[in-house]
Amino acid sequence: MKALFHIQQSDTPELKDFFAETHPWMVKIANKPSLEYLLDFAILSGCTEVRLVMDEPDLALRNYFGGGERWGIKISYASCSENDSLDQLLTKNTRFCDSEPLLILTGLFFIHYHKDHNYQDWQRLSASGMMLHCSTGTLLYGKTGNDLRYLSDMRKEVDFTLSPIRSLRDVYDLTMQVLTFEQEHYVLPGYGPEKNILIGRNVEIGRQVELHPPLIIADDAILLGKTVVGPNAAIGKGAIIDRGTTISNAVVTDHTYLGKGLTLSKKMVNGGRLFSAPDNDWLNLNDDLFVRIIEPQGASYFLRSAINRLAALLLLVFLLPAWILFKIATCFTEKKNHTTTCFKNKGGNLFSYTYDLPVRESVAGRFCRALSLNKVQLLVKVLSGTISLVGNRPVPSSPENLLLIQTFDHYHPGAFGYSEAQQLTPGSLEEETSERFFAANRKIANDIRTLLNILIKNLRTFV
Amino acid sequence: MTITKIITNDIAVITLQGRFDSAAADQFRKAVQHDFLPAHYVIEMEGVNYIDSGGLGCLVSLLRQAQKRSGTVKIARIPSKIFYAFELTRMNRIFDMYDDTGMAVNSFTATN
Amino acid sequence: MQNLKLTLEPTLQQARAAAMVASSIARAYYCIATGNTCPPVSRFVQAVELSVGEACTNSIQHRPKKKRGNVLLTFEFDQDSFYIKIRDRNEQLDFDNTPAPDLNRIQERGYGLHIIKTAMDDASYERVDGWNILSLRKSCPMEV
Repeated sequence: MKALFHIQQSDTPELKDFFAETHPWMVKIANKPSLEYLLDFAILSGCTEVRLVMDEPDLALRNYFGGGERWGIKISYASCSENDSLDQLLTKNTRFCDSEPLLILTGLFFIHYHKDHNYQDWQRLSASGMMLHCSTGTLLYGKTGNDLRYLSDMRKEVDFTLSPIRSLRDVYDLTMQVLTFEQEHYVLPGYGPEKNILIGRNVEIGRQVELHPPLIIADDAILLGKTVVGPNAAIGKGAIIDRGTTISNAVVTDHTYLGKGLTLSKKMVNGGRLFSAPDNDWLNLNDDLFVRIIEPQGASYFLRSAINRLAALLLLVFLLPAWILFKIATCFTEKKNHTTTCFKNKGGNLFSYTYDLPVRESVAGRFCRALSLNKVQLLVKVLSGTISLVGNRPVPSSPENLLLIQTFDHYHPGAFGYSEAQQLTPGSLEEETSERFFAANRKIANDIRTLLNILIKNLRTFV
Repeated sequence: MTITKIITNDIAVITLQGRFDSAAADQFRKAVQHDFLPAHYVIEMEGVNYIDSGGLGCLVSLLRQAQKRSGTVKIARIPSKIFYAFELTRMNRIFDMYDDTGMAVNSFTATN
Repeated sequence: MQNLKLTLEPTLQQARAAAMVASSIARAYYCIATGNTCPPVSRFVQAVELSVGEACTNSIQHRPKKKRGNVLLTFEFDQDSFYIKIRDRNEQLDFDNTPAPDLNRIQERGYGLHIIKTAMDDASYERVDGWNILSLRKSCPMEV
């Protein structure tokens, strides 16, 4: 059996405003894209091929679902025009639809099913041309695509139901419903150390954090000390929850930062947007919540500056002999002589440094990276007070990046970058969230940990 | 690029094979200039393994000409490897796409 | 392999050849970087092929009539990314201020730079000693 899923973005204006660039099928219910639930259901129903028909293509969706290899099925993509009827949809996808029994899911909705139940029989026992409605979509089944041109309502009792997804309230309610009552019904991302607790990979949980099930925490999330998560909380991928914040009956979406000491209850947060379930309304927040302003205080600023220079000096003393020997040994090998100009501060002042070591992928280049010799030029800049020892990854100067750092409240470049320690892809949203967070929450202990992390990570690259 | 064309009942079915890039643009433009210009076109692209902005521009130009004669251009059997270029330029919203050439041709007669 | 250089005669046939070469190198890089065989429809390879094709076609179509300088291509890669540089001696390009095409309107031209900027992770332009240098970067595809 095959399945054809069809959606038009114009059906979901409220979701579009709140979730900005996210495709409605990528909006997550309990940390899993809404489309993935439909896909799982189609697979349980015996589908081996799925076609996704959309009016607006979406890169993130493509990257996530790809050709379906992860699910062991074949996923193909097609486009449709606005207001294409079911008949037109079948005509445009004739080759796909005509060869075998077909399941069509049109619109945006959620299917309540149970992963342990058998869904192989309902369609075999149903008459062809059956359908099941909810207010935002329809599920259709035909023994051939042509049967779907003559439909009747499904009279047979089936072991699944449809719930509409039209508003933020629907997304919030469905997440709470899945967390509270249906967690065992679906394959959800993460491992479960305890019943009704699901935790993703690489999650950092600070000291005295309280976890109250049911809850789900996605990959790379950071919960700082004394946060209270749950009951009924979904924390998205790469989200950062600052110290002492309490989250219950709430959804924090991917890469969202929540400030210190907040209480989030019956809400859904996406970046700077906040949806309140009791009020059934959402608003744009200003940056106070997203990144809290922490001004460097006099004494600690000078102390940090002194420690920075001292540590840089020690590192230089340690690295310089190796660096000089290395320069002599490699004076005839191919080198990348590259001067980079970066922003020194939020005001747009600049500093430059030259990278004149062997190219990174050569053995000599890898050796030099392993010993962090590529940082020597930057360490000199630390000594002169231009940059910090540990700070933000230096942002190269360009008109676009100037706009970026002007809104980057605590930007301070460092020889060793925060996101470098976490091996985040430069330019990614994960990197920006992490850089902004650590810049706003600088601590000497954190800096030392970051520095050691990078030095060890570099050494490991050679081994 | 190999171009074959069959014109019946005011509908031209043009089958393309090979790389439809800027280097092939002139060849395409010449191939679609007939003494008799049909109203509608179906471009069958199953054999196309690459398309760039030059190729897409040719399709848009053909669509404009067809629209002047109250016709249109539909795309049939587009392979996934070139669908990417249509998505990047949002051309997938401009052209109706069918996975069967016969259905694309029939869709004209259904609407006429 | 540290870097590969390619010199193109300014003809559209050579731009086509450059795109095909870029596609082959990107495919080889994909296999080395991920340790997997490259799937037949890889977005990564498609993005590189399209962007190099567009950039070379642009260079060739915008060269001054009396000037027949070559287009130079360099491919480099490391663990994280695949880099391409395209150099020509055409008139200076206003890369950052070239308006994006209005995708809601039907237009025949002006998609080249838009494709490059959208398909690649980074695309920057500089003018050095009479050379236009377009630098492109595409991150190593993450394993799904």
